Amino acid sequence: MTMSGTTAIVGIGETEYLRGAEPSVPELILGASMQAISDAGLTPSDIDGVIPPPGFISTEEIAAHLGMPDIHYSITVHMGGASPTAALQSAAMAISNGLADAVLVTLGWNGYSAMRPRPGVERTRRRLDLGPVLESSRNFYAPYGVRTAAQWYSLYLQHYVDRYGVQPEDAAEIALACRSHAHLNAKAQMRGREMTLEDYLASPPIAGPLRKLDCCLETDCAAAVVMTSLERARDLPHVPVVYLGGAEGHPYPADEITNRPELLRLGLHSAAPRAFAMAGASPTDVDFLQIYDCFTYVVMMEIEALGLCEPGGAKDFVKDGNIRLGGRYPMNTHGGLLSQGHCWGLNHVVEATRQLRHDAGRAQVDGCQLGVVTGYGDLGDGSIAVLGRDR
Amino acid sequence: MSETKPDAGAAPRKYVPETEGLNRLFFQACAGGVLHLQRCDGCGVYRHPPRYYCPQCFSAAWSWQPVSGAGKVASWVTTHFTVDRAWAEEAPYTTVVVELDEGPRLLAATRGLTEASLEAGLRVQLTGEAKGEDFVFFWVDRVDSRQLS
Repeated sequence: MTMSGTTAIVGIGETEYLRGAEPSVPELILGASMQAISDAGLTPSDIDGVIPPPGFISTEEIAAHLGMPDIHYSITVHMGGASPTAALQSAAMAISNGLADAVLVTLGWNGYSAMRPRPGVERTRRRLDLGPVLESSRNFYAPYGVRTAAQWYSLYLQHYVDRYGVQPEDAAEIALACRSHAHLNAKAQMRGREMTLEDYLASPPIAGPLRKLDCCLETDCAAAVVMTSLERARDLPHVPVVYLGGAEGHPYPADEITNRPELLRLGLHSAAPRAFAMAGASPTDVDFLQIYDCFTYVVMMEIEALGLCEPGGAKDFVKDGNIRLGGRYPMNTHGGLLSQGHCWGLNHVVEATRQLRHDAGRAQVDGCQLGVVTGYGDLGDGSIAVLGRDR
Repeated sequence: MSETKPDAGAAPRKYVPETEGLNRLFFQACAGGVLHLQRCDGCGVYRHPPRYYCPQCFSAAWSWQPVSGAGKVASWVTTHFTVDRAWAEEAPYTTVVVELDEGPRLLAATRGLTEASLEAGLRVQLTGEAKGEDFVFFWVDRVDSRQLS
């Protein structure tokens, strides 16, 4: 038995990507959710499954605020930025097994405002649940002034760069490609703000190999998608975007970086082959990539984990326009976390859906039929979804 | 609440975690001045961070074993920009992953070791500095090769 090809994304929603939002995090999440439900041609009372983010708001609150009187299925994925894309597999599993009919996957946060309180704006008690990484990070990293994702990931990114001779100019191409795509997206934070290789090379160092322009954007935002059975999806307004395959994977041990026997093995290395096998597809079949781009060098490791090239080969893979619109593997056609905004990759799912509906405007990948989305979070957890346009 | 407010203008104090469970037991074992590691009573394999079961033989029996702190540089990260105000004046600072001779690796702060002097495999010494009874801060120091016997 397989759930491949039995469910589809039928609704998408996203807020603006803001640096300092007026609405509260719950308002952002509820707004994006209403958009997605409406886009699906449904009403909140049609939703009987909810996958909320790890923190900030509960299924019970979402259901009460929006009017979902009969929730059958609720679960929360605790994989940091890998959570939303991993949540798609739980939604597909629940729907294909008859546990729920229509599932809302949503995520929102105060990624800008949480770190930058403003005078006159009350600080919220709602926050991210750091459970999976909290004990290791607060006992063994934070006492050494190692507190941020940029520092954690540099514990392996530095090794990756040294081992494969990756140059800043290689990583720059990822930042530049995302920026070039952001100019085509009305909601991208960095739309219209040009970036050159010189800008990139002149940007200040942060940690390990990371410069400022290797890092994604602090953002207040929310996004949401609705999934239902493919059968029902065909009666709804949009062309169904079929969930063909997906998986999650975890490095080992996942809660601590320094004692890993294989420092360069991410969760996605385990997840990607399973997802493509479920989808009955090869990584080279895809028409576009929406890769979780918290940091440029992480994107390189993910490209390799997907099987698109050999270990160390990403620095060549990204060259010659290969990941830009018009190239063979257009990547992050919305601008990504690097230049659209950081919505934990649920914005990547939204963009993949838009692409496969052939509704991506100036960023449209002509005639695309198959795409892949990745998620990445906590200390290297990975998730993936292989999505296709319904024929 | 008996917490005292730091004096205005005083540098923020470096974070000392309130530890609990196995991690607290680890720090307590190290707080007397001798570094200890958790070792499986079943198969003898050392492990860190502390775990309730052995990931090799799945035994739940273990004990704290004193170790010398001798090891080598596995990797490092240099931080140029920090959100931690208590560390801001030290930036850029380099934090080293030390691989102890028994196998486990720990993060440690450098003193006198610059990034330029680091290379994988460089012999180093890990030293604990107790911060109260329930936490130990680790330093990494270069071992002068002439002192090795």
